[in-house]
Amino acid sequence: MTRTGIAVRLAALALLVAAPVVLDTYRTFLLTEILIFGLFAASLDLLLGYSGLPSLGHGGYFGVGAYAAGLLALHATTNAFAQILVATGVAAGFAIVTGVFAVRSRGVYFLMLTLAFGQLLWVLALNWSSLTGGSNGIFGIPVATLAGSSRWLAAGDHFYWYTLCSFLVGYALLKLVVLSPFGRALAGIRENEARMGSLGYNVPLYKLAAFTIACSIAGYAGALACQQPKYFSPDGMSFDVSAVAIVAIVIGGQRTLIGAVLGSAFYYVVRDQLSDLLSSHWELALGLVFVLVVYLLPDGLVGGARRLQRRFAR
Amino acid sequence: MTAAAVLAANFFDQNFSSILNGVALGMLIFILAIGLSLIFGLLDVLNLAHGSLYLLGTYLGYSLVEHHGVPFIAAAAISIVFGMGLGFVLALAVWPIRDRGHLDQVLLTLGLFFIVADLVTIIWGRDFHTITPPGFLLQSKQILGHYYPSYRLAVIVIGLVIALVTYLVFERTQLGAILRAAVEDRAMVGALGYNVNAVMLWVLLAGAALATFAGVIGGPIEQVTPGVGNDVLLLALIVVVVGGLGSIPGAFVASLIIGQAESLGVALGQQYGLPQAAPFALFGAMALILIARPAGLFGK
Amino acid sequence: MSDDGTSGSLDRREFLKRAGAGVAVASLPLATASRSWAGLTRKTATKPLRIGNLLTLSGPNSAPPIDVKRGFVAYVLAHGHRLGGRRVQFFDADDGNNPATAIQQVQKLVNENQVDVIEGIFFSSVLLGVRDTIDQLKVPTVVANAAANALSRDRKSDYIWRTSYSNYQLGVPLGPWAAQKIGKSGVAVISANYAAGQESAAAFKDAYEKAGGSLSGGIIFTPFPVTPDYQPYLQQAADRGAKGVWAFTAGGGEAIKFVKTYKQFGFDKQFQLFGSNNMTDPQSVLDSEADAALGIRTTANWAPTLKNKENVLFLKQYDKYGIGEPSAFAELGYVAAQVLDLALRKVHGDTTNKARFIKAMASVGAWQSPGGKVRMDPTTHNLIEPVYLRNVVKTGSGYNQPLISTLGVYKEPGA
Repeated sequence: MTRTGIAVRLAALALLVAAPVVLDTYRTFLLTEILIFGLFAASLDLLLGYSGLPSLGHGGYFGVGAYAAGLLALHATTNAFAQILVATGVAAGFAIVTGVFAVRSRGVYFLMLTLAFGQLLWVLALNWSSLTGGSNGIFGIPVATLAGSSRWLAAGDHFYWYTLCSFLVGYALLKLVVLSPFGRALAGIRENEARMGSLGYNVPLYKLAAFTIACSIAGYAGALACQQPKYFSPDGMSFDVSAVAIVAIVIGGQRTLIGAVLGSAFYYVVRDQLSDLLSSHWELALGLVFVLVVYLLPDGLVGGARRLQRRFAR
Repeated sequence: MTAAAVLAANFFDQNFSSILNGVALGMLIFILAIGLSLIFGLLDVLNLAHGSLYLLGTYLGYSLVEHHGVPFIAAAAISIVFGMGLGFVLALAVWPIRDRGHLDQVLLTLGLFFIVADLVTIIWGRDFHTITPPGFLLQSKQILGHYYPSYRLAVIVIGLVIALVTYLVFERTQLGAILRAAVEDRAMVGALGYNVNAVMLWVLLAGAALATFAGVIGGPIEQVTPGVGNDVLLLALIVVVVGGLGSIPGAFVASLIIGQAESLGVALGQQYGLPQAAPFALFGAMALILIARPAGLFGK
Repeated sequence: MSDDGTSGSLDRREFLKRAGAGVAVASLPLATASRSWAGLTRKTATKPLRIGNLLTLSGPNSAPPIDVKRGFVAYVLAHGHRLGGRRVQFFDADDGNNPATAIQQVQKLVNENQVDVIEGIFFSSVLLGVRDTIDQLKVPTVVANAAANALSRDRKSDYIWRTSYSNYQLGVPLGPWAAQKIGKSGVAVISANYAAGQESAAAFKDAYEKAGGSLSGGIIFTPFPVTPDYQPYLQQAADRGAKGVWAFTAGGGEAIKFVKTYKQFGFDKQFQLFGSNNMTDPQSVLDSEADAALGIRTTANWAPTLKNKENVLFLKQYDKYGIGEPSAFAELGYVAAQVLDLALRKVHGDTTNKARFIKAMASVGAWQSPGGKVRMDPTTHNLIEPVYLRNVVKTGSGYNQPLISTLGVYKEPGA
């Protein structure tokens, strides 16, 4: 990593830490949502970008984590860490059971099989009313507690810092996975599966591990997505959620992790601004933005930034 | 007659309407899926805007039939020409990125999907409508001792005719041979001296025309609503993948299976005390088939 | 604009005086106005009243929510662009029919747009999602349409008032009617399997049984949000020998599919269909169902044919949009604006003292709405209102739903 690279990262971190001081309540709230969704999208990038496994059902595991955290809060414990751990674990469990089948298919087939799993989880949430509250969702969730006290996470700013810490931990985990020998093996499998197989790698096992890790982090982000509004419903894990995560990755630039986060920020901010400007017709403008991004930014925001950087370096 | 045959006959008799409804839905989705499958097979483009073509077709049909007094059949014919025009626009849009990854295509066609969805509400409003079928198909017909809506029978017949024509074109004509070869290996067909780009353009135009046509004939069954494009796109995607990408016979069989899962499957769930299973039928069927055959029914 | 068309409410004189005050303030320098009209001298009353329209303004299900907004705005326009004497400034917030987005929008409306009140909220999941955020931010909210029972029961909030109905109120009125007109047996229930359907269907079942009826089997649920084929469900009701079926469908395309299947497969010859209004509302849905809907009985809280003065004013103002007759959803928005106006006038347009404003909401009492005389229930924060029975008929100009009787006045029972 270059010295400028470190400086940029430190500056970004400092800005993120200071954000609630600078930003108003609403923008802090929005930034909290961006961090949560960004972590979710980054976990999908591990699959889609690094492992070549384009999942269209990632929202399902996000929802599993959110419900696990919310139901735990309603019936067992308000402890924030316990909720996150259980959410991550439950999402991992669902990921292993479905992933065993999913990793046997490739490309668009993988895309559609994961879509089926994601949609089945969504249908389950919608219909298992006694547990999930059906279409009404789960509500009346108590504030998550840290060290036995709810005062830490009740206020918006505090919740932001808690989210930022959780985000950094989750993001660091993903980064470690990507940089590890395991991550390099995934890249090898993505580029040439047959060769990795003949080199003695257990390809399906590697893919299953990647799928499980990605879905666990999705569940981890899901727990945050339930703790923040103290509410969750099937809408929070619908097809749209998975699709927007893919959009965020493509806009930001795949196989970078940070691209997924930047893409999420881009999506949230642009949608927010457009819905202000255009009220009920923001979808039209958002569609135009997608089209422009595809034509003008072939490698997403990160790719665009790198090209700019190279131009200035010359 | 053996006992099994009697049982089968009874079963058919009891579930007559459900089975035919499943076939009608299947045929409608099949007509839409042909284009989606071919565009993917030949151009390697996953066209998420395919549902938008259906949506534009269904609103065009609604306008023509309900507001301009155009006969239903004429409206269906007009929609084919209209669809080819849309196909051309789509071709222009995807051409610059035809060699980029699927994800870029997904983002582009999703963008087009958003644009069309909103344009439709600007042009036609957000209200819910329907298309009235032609007069001679308004009544129910008695077949095999059951009353069944004539219009749905007509959709079944149209679907079967289109399936047959597509089959003949693919298996019995030189164009079909080129198409089949191009699905396997585009470069090779080009090397043989055929203009691959022209072939791909025509496939896109035909696929788009079938999608808008499906929009018109689907109007009386699926209704004319701003969200109908999403619903049918999802079904068509499922059919294309379950059948095996680029395989028309696969899409045909898959549409019959998915259609039955959505109506006969639901009816059986009702009869045998498993009504909770109904919402899982569609994605459950798809997951089971893809688990059993990871490359679809007719895929390699 | 004259307010002569508005009358019939309990405090009519007060109403006219205030409305007149609004016009006066608009045309006179503030200094003069403050001396003449004691109630409007407060500083807050001279600032515009900021109202957030929290509704599903985009996407496939946005037609009815947009009607709610039109109805609300129609009331404001009909009253000199004022509520409670204050000029109104609107802020649109699209919830995208998604609770997570709605929560974000509430944060934005309150912290960024600094709204004084929020109106709208069409879908139950959205309402339950934003409930805690609204309660925490203490922003007075009038709900139009979202009908989750819980909001009047264990999820009641001091700040949230519903000017439409709860799901309970949608289901109950036809219970006694069915027992009387269809019979103590031979009635089945088909409902879309989501919260609104489940709660309304359960309420109907209770009311029908209380009236001495015994339902033909359990409630038949259809998949939500989309049911590809309604035939098997209708068939099951027929197999149970039903003479009448109470039905609750998801709105729009689903309602059209359901009603057309009812007719196309000959079920109309086997049983009478009746239920809540979204089976045949709004007009575009009824027009699409056309002949298939003839004879279907539904309940409603309002009809364009009602002749009371408030309804005349509503129709007159709505006509200025040039988009035809208002829908039942537009009326919900209109009533939301009405109740807000009544409460605001009690506090002279001052929303800074939340406790006082909430007390005013609780004590608005009864008034004349376009649907008839209604009352705000201070214990459930829900409207007590008359329910009418309608029948679908074909007239020269198209399909209509004239009122055939009043089923009574219904209230949400609360916890």
